[in-house]
Amino acid sequence: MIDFVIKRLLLALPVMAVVSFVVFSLLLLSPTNPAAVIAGDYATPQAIAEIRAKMGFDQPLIVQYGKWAQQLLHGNLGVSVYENRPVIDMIAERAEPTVSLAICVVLVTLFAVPLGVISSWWAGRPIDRLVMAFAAIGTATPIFLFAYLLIGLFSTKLKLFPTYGFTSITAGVGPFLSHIALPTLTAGIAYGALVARVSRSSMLEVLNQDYMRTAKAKGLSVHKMIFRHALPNCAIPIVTVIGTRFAALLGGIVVTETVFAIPGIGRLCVDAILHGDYPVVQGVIIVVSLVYILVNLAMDLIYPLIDPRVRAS
Amino acid sequence: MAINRRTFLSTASLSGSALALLPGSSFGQTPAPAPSRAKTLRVLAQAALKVLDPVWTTAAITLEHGYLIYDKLFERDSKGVPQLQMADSHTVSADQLVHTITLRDKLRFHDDAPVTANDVVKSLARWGKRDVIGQQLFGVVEEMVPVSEKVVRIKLKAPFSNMRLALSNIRGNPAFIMPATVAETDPNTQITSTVGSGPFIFRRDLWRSGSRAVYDKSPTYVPRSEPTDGYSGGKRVHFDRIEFIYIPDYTTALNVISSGEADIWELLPNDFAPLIAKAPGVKLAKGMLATGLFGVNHLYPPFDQPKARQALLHLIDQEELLTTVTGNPQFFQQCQSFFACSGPYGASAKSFEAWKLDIPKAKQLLAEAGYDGRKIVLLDTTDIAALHASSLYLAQQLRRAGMNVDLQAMDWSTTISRYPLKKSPAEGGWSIYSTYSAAVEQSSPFGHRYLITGDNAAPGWPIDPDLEKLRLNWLAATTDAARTSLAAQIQKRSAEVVPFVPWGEFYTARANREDIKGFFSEAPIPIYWGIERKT
Repeated sequence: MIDFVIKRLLLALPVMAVVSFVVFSLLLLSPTNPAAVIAGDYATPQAIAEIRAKMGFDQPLIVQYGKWAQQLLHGNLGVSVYENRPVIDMIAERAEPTVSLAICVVLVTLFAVPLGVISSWWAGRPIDRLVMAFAAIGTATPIFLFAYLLIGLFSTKLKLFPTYGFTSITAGVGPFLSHIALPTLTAGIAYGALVARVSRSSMLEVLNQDYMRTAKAKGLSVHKMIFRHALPNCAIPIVTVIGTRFAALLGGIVVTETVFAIPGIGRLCVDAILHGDYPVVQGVIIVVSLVYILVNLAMDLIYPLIDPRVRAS
Repeated sequence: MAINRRTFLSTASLSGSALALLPGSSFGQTPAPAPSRAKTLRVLAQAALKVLDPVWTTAAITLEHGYLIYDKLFERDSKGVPQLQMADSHTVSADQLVHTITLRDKLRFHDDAPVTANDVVKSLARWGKRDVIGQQLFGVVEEMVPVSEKVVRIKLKAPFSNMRLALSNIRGNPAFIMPATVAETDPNTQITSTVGSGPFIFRRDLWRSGSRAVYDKSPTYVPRSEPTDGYSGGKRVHFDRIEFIYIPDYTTALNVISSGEADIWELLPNDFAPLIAKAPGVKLAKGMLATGLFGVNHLYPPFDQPKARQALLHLIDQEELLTTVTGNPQFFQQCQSFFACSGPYGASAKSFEAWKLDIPKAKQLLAEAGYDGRKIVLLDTTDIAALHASSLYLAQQLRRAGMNVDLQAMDWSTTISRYPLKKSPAEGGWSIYSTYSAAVEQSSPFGHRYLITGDNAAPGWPIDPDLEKLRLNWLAATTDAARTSLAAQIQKRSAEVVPFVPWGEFYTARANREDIKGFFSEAPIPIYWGIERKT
């Protein structure tokens, strides 16, 4: 097991190197000149050139990348050219809202699994149609539209939840939940719809297997059929979808963060791109890549726990 | 203990819940006791505060930060006239070469240290290296020294009659007074200190870059005795705290102010004005008066020819264009002038024949300028509504005049990265871009960067020694009569050489809750003293 984990982590290094180099190149090829942004719209070309030289942006791409990679190997993600703060601090500051939102969305999404199971058990019946209608709406409707509808109803009209912002859980569970509720619901509907569809289709496949018909013929209870025989066998696609979605959420959920004014990692990255703040963009990409790799690794470790066949192989 | 499938499945969901409920020790924030909502002014900021040095950047949100925590020697009143602020007196020698400024009593920084003449000298020295107007002033400063704890003497090489105007400048980099130890920082390096002597104290512990900035009322600040008037007079604070919240999404911001969660919305798109009018308890307010202009590249054909630039004047119907930008006649005024019409020299526009929309005449001027159908690169800044609308309007008019237009869409960061480039339009340069600035900046040749021609000209790089001579003569003039006469000559010459193309004046839009009074909404940079909540 330990060998497997070490091997996977070592394999992650070249992946991250390639990702970082591609992103670095793309950023430097973009038309935004961070020196001009820093200098402001009143700056002279000389002032811009001075800042460019001071920041090292006038050096060849490979030299700039080499310097950046060198400091990364020393555990340093660099300093924001715009805010003059360590990138690692900026990411750490934005991590809590994003991690909190991601966890809450995944928890809400878990409710979609029983919905998918119910839907498959009564496939073709009204309840199945109802669940699939929810799934279709959730998948097809833009997230920002859900956000506005929820804000309009629960914040503006009923005044049950605040419209914007994020409060740390250290300020109390109540304020935390009241702030995170609507963003969670917004993103949760979209992700839940997907999980419900995947759960239903996986479950349907299993329910049509011979051993399930045998179990039914033997008079096994519905509870035992579903929880002992069907669910464990269709869990891998569901866990895969939830896991990859969780990784994506940890990378920042830009639309939800923007609409609800949540200072998360997604907004950090978008703002940095708009300011041409390359070290921040690079730092976020590296951290998010690492998170993806770790989440994928975690899923690989979870599969054998769910499915004995994987363990055996 | 070995983990098996059942224990894993049974604990999976619980572990998720537990994670969510863990104390946020690693990435949490400590809440601070807050004043009541009634004593807190909550503002939807126009941008997120990210940079704390108002001498390093000209970003409006950083200048707002500066106005809250710092003070200036002079401040402008609501008519734009500089008044004493930190200065108790200002005297000028008979030969106008020596200015003596004495600080008023009871000036203290937030760390309780007194504000001294040395702090003033060091602050102005740093400002003078960075700010455009400061550079003009320091071009004639021979010596600036503290004479005593409270007296500063500025000795000049030549008279500089705009001293108070310079030191009270609102935009650009205002001449804020900082502690000497802070002001000694290299002007090209951001300061990190937030110790000022202004009416508010910055709460760094509550600052969340990108979303929230908090200021508490300074217990040590002693306002002047005069009533608040524009930026000048007594800076009296009626709230214990101001919270700046940055909400990037306009629809959410509209909901927030409608529900009473915020008191002031600093900058909303003009097309949200009808929605604000329908929102209960919210009042629409005119914001900063802005002057719109098209920067034109004088280095490359066809706009290296004055006639081609004159043609642009005949392609614009300001009423049409400003309606496109604001959608509300109460929020704009036509201004066929190279100075802001709201300023003292706007009327001197009458000294030359006003231009009007005349496509055939524009075509004729373009033909006389030798326009050969080459591509005109128009930079279209899509993330600023006024600039996008004006760019689309001009593109249409250029096409009507038979020009070959390459409308290039980009964000503002890309625009300001592109327009300093002196390359030809075919090689990644540009022909025209749209922008606007506070009308107060264009009210006279002082601080009007788009009238500068020659080496120090703004992007577009107009070259006209006659216009530059008139501008410098205005700066050196010592009587109002001479300045008025020179301004009229500048107008006339500008209409001939067209250093830029004005497209009119418009108000940005702000909104406030109806129970808020005393909000100086038209301030170029919003200020937050003198505001009260009606009870």
